[in-house]
Amino acid sequence: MNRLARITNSLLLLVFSSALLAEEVEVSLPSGNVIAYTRYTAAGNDLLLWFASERGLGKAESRAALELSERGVEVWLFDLASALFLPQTPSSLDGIQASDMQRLLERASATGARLCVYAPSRAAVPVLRGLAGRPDINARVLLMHPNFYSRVDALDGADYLSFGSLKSVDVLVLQPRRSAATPWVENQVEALRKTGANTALKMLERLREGFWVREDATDYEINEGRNLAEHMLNWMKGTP
Amino acid sequence: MTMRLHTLIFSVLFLMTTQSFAAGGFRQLDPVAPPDLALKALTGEIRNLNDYKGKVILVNFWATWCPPCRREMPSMQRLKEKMSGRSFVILGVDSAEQREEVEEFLKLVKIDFPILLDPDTAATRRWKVFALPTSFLVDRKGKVRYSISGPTEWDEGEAVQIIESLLQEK
Repeated sequence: MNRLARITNSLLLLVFSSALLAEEVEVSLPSGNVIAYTRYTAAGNDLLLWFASERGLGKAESRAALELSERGVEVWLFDLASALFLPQTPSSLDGIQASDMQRLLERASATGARLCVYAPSRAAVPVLRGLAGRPDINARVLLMHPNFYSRVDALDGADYLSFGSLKSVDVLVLQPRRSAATPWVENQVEALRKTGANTALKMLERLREGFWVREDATDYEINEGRNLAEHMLNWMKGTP
Repeated sequence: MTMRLHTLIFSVLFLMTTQSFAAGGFRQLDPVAPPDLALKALTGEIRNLNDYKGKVILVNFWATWCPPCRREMPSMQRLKEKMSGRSFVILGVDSAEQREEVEEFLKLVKIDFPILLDPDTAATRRWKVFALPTSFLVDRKGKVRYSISGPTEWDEGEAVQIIESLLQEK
C-alpha cells in the first residue's frame, strides 16, 4: 500500500471511529441557555467532564477525548465560552451562573459513574463555584494552571476568589513549571485548602501553559500534548 | 482552514495571556521603596540595586521560555546604547532558571547589560511579579515609579518619554 493510501485509510478510520464514539448533546440550563457539548461514549465506569479554557478547545483536546473514550473513559467535552457566545477572555467564564454548572454536574452525577472534572486556566472558576453549591456531588477535580485571582498587581499582591466550602472535592493542581504563575502556585493551593478541598500539587516539568496548543511548542511540548490522554488517565487515578 | 484559523486565534490569545493582567501601557505608582534586590549576576558577582543610587534603573523580570520576554530584549539593548553615558542602567532578572539555560539563550541574543539570576524566585516573589515580562522603573531617589506587565518597545514612544522624564528629575 502506498503512503497516500495508508494516510487516507488512517484518516477514514479516525473519522469513522470518532463518528461512532462521539455525539453532540444539547442541554437546557437554568439560565435559559441551551448549550451543546460533545459526548465521547465509553463502556467503563469513569466519566470525565472536560471544560475548555477561556481560549476555547484545541485539536489536541478533542483527540485526547476520543482516545480516552477508546480506553474506557467517557468524556463530555465542553467549550462554554463558545457555546454561550462569550468573548475569549478570562472574565467571560466568571459570568457563568453556578446553577448552570450545577445542572451539568447533576446530569453527570446521575449517570452513577465515577466523576472527574478537568478545567484549565479560568475554567476553574465556574467549575469550583458549581461544585461549592453541590456538596452532595463527589468529584475529583484536575485544575490545569488554574487562574482564580480576583486581583493582581505587580509590587502589591494578588487576591483569590472565594468559592464557599469544597469539602467534598479532591483537587489536583497541575502546574507547568515554565509559567509566571509557578512561584505563586503554593498560594493557590493554600487558598483551595482553606475551602476544605483536599488539594495536591503536581509540577509539570519543562512545560509551559497551554503546551498542548501552542504554536511555538517545543518538541517536548508537542510530544506531551500528544500524550495528553495518557497523562489524563494518570491524573484521574492520582498516579504520577 | 477553520482549524488553522482556530490555531491562529489560540496563538494570538496565548501571546496576550503570557503578558496577563495588565493590558498594555505603563502603570504609574505612588513612589514606593523597592523590595530588596541583591542577586548573583551571570558574570559571577553580586549586584545590588543600592549600588545604582542616583541613577534611573529599569528592572526587567523575564525568562528564556517566555516569547514576549525574548521579543522585547533587543529593544532593551538598543535603549541601553541610546542612553549610553547617561545616568541610566538596566538590570535583567531571569526568573526561575539555571545559569546554563540563560547562557544558551544569550548566545542567540546579544545583550551587554547585567543579567541577574533568581533561580529560587525569591526576588520574583518579593517584587510580586505575576506575569512575565514585568518591568519596573526606579527613579534617581531610589523609588519605584512605574511598572509594566507585558512587553514594550523600550527604545521608542512612551518608554523613552518616561525614562527621559525620570532622568530630568533632580
